[in-house]
Amino acid sequence: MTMPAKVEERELLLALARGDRGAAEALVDRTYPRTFALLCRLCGADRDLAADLTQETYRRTWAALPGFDGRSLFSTWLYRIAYNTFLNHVRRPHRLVPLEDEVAVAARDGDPAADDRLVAGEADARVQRAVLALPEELRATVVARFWAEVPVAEIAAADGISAVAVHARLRKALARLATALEEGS
Amino acid sequence: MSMISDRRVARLLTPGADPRPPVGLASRIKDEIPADVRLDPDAVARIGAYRPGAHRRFVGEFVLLAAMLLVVVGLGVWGLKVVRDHEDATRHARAVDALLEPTDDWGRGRASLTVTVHDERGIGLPGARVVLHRLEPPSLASRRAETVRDGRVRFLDLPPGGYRVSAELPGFAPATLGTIRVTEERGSEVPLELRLLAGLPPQGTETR
Repeated sequence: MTMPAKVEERELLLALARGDRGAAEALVDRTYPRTFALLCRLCGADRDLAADLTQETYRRTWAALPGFDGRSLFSTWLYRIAYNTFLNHVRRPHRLVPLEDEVAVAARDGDPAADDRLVAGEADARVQRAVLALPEELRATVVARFWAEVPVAEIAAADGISAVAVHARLRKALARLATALEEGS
Repeated sequence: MSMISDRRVARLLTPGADPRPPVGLASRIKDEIPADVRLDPDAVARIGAYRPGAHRRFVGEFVLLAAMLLVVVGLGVWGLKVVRDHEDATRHARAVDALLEPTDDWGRGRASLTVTVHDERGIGLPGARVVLHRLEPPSLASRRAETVRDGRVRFLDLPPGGYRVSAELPGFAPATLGTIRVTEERGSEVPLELRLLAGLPPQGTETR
């Protein structure tokens, strides 16, 4: 069963509450590109790793579905699972792919624009390292807002804090990132 | 302080186009959807209902409203008190005015009262201070006069009514007569006896 693309998330969730497997597939279609993109950014553009973690994210999502309490949007909840999946992965150091290798691969591929991509890749890698070095509370907020593009109100709902507190976290995180990027430049 | 602005950091964080997912990823994910996948209907009903800080905003608004209400009530009570105080003061002032001011006809009547102040022997006492108070209608205003040689004093142009007469003279005990009815038909006349204070010689008696 294929659901229309513009069906609201709420309608899909109502169908899922009735046990409609097609609604679950529609939710996957609707959310997996952004989930993959988020994990790609977190993984430093390691597409294979990001794809594995995306698959793992949905496995966890189905398992945790009975615990979804509706306090936030499903997409926000899914983002948190993806983020936690990534954190679980990086806490196993032997599986972490060094970012420098990614940049090096980009430089060896013989593309005429390789220099530009190398510079861009280095910048992205620096930003990614600075973000991952943030304290957990600030890192999660920055990743949610900028990389998962979760609205501030949704971050607030998911974290159980006010929108003002989210903005305060973002301001603090940006200040720390600015310092970190300046020190690393 | 960092030379890199927060805005620039935000620009660096803002991702470009989303990377395209590998072909077949969606299928692999869908293949792993459990057959009995199901969501709690109550959770769907709760979506959007929760807003962090809403209770704090409610409490804040309630406290603000209560404070405003208290201020309004306080101002109202204070205003009422001011109005009532003003009314009381006005009423009191009017009452005092009414008592202090002679009635409209005070001094315009046609009756008269002659008071004769004498001692125990019936001899008229000159120089006695006689005060006339109007009792009906009541008034705090009074008229005063001194007796002449034969101990008499006459009050003219009195409106009819009840009066109280009192007299005093050094060496004598003050005396007061209760309500004296004054009418227009004829001039009223009342005697008022002053008794000599004990230990003092009668007026006119020489002492050495």
